[in-house]
Amino acid sequence: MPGTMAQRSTVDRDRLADLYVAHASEGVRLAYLLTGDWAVAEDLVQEAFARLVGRFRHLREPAAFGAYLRRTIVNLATSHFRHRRVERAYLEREVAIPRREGNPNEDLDEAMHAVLLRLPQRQRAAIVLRFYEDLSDTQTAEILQCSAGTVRSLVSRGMTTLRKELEGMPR
Amino acid sequence: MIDEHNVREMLQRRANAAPTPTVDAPKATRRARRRLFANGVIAMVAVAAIALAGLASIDEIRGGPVPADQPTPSVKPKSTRFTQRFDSPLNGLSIGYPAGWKTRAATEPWGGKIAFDAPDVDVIFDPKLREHLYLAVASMPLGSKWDSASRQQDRPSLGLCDTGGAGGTGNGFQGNPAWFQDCYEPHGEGGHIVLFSTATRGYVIYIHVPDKPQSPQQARYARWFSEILRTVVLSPDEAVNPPESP
Repeated sequence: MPGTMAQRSTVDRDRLADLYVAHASEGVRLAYLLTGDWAVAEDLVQEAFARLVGRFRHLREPAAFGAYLRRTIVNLATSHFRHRRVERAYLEREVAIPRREGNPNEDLDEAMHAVLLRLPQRQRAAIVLRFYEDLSDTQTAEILQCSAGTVRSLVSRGMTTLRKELEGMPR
Repeated sequence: MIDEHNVREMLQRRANAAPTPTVDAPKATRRARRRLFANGVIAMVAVAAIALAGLASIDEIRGGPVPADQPTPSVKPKSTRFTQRFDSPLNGLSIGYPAGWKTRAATEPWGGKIAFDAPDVDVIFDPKLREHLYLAVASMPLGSKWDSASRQQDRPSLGLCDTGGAGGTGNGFQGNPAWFQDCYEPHGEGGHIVLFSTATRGYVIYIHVPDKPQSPQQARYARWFSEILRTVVLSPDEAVNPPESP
């Protein structure tokens, strides 16, 4: 009997490792787009993974694991900034809009990301989930726990701010 | 003007241009397992704490009287510690009682009846339940109306506890012959009484409770009464006797 338990534990451990390898990179990219910090992003993904393992038996389908991981990352990113209450100050200090020189595309990307990171968290999450993860309004709404209409509104307001802030930048 | 397409491309480029994320699966798995273990420990500690609190509450409930549903439900006495003391100079007795209760000392020698409002009885009562939960203490010199508390037929008619109930002499009271009895009172209430006699004096200590003796709370009240009786300190020689009749 102990042998069976040890065997099952090894299988679980292998499976956990496989799931992590399969989803971690994508998760870290999502977390980075939401937080603008690779170290924080990696930490968030590990935390999200650790939380999900507690519900591992309910997440036997890898596809479901990915969806849960995405949702947990978005929630953790929200908590990350909410708890520290320094989102605005931190981003304004650390993620200033870059000078407009060098590769215009790169400059625009950095500037756009900086503005994106200054958006309210839900607007930012809605834009990233819709345009990076390529989720539908309904899927995004499910993660943000709101209606599809609210998602459209969040995206619209976020886009308006982006346009306004980046007006006049070369493309 | 920035549009969705620009944002999509920017997000894709930013995500791809970044350094390859460190994918340390064993580390993440260890972290997850540590978290699971910690959650399990916290859950066990929480369950143990809740269980202990529950047991403590049950013990407290068992240790103290619980007021009856009828006729006057009220707050049960919160403390079973008899931190207060009532000294009865008239009866030569000191007795403990719960904090929050009120006392009313007898103002005249006892005539033989026990009642909440009797002026010749020391009364210690729950201010919320008043005549539904109170202690009464009274005494008189032996020889006039009372010869021995150990014989039921020798005791005076108290005006209560006359309809009978389980009783007996037990092991006496502090070395004195005694009679213990559960009492049925009107309106579904009850009581417990002890009558005992020292060499010179007969005593009655009575607790009136808002439950009849066969109620589920009866055993609790009986135990509570026993605890109160353990606080009694007798000094019958200091009691005040009524003036001799001419």
